[in-house]
Amino acid sequence: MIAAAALILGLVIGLVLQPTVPLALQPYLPIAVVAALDAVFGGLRANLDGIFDDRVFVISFVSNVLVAAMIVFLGDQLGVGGQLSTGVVVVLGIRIFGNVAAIRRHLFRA
Amino acid sequence: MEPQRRAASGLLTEILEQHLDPAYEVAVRRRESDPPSPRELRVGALARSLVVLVIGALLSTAFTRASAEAPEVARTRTALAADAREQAALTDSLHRQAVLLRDRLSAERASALAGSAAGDQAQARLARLEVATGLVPLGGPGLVVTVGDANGPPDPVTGDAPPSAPNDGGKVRDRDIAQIVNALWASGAEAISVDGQRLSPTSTIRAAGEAILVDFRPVSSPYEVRAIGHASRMQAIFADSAVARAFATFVQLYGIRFTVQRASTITVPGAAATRLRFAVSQNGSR
Amino acid sequence: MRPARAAVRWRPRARAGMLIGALCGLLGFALAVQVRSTQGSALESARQEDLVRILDDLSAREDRLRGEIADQQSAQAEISSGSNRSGAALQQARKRADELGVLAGTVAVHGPGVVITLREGSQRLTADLLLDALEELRGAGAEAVSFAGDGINGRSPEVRVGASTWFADRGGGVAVDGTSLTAPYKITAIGDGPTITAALNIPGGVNDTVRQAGGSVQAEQRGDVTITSLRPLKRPQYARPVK
Repeated sequence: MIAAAALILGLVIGLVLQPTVPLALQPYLPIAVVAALDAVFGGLRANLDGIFDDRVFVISFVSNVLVAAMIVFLGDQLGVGGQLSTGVVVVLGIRIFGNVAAIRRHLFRA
Repeated sequence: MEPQRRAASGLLTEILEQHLDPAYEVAVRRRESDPPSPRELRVGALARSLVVLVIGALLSTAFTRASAEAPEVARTRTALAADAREQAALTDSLHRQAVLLRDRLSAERASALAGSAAGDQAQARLARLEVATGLVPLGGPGLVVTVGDANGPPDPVTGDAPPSAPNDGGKVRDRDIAQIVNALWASGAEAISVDGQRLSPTSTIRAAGEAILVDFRPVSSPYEVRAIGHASRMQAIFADSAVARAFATFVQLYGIRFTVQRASTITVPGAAATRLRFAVSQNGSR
Repeated sequence: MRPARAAVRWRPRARAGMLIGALCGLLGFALAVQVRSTQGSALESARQEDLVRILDDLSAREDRLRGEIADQQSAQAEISSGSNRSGAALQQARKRADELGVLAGTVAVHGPGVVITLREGSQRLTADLLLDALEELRGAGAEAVSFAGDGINGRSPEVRVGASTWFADRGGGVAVDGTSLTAPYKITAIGDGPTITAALNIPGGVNDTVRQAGGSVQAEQRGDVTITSLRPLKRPQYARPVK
């Protein structure tokens, strides 16, 4: 699959180029990773369900990352950064769990 | 209020049950009614691949950054920190050994001197001087002054507040500790220890860069200064001192932690003895 | 209104499984590394150059403690060996008391050292400055120190320094252990002359601070200086020896 190849290529590029993350963005990297994973698993599940759509996948990824980072940034300014980021991670984590479970059901039953 | 209840439960059930973006279902229906052109399909495939590429780069960047948190320099630094911890533990055990030997020597000397008037006199004078030079562990009522660095800004992801202060105002310096100790002596303290290190006539409070060392042993924030003496009198005089008042304002200004508490029993350990290398008493014997 | 879904059968199911497994593995790895990088301890957060100096100081502390242990052991040997046990013990006790007397300030003392004169200029020399000077002298290994200055009635009191010596701003000068002194201050320190002089000259040290306050510092190394002022030997009232 092209997607798998693109993923591996992306991993390689990240490992080889080792882009320096600007200092201001560094605290938001972990949350961006979780948001990205949510979009990936959502896309995989949609693919297995037969309802995958490119545009939805792209937009959900971008919006997930931006919204998650923005919520954490806003919470940081308000002084509740730790709590808000916990909330974001909890919600994204639940979604990742649910999508992975659905993927598992697809792969190992039907 | 049916619609309200449905809305509220809708939010929670949506989080707990609706894991897949509902936009996918909507998109399927749209595609059935309005099938995409081959060009749209190509663009879609390209966008999808690009996003997956970015995700891969994001994942590996996060990984390399997290593992690059401990690059070669920091790994050396971690090794140095481990060395310092070991060395501090070693000197602590040497200190305990020295105190043990000193006690044993005192006991033997006392028994050897007992019986003669000159011996008793010498023993008594020695005992008084050992107390006066801080070699003997002491206990009694007094004050415990705790001063600590201000907490840094909380980490946005974990919510932890690291104790290291980024700005100068939030960091406690060796001078601050020396001034607090000075004010406690002026308030009538009879014995003082800083983070478990007893202050003797030759005790040093110095800084190695950002770290503070008492008698060449590193101590860390929060710093606990114990002073034995008349608790309420010391507290009144100390609270009136310039350094105590300054620190009360620092709590507001920089977030420095500063507390003064009375205690009915505090113990301070004995200090390590100092060998004299230059000073000679006028009596001539050294 | 659920549209009929055609479940996609992936022929290369193993490939999908591998992909998911790889993603999950990477996620777990990244999380583990993230967790590891957020742990630390007080010493670990110190800078590398600080740790080097801390290690230097700790090894000096180790040397000092080993020296003390060696002294104790030889003293122990002296009074354990048979013949003139009480005589050896008496001599030891007296010698030890003399040493401790020097440190406690109860006996007069002499030895090589430095005499430092601090003169005031436009600004007052504060108690904090004198406290800094004492800390620097202790850091440089001074074994006996005294502070002298102009007092009342034309006298020049000299105060012997001990562990509990304190400084406070009083009137136009500084009170040292309760005794009022005014500039010029004369500090006598017995110890290693070159080390003490170097310690005073470090950037941000006493010399710098006094000069910035418009005053002047004069430090004279001598082969032998004498300190005759004494501290009273007070028995503590609230602190009692504990085991």
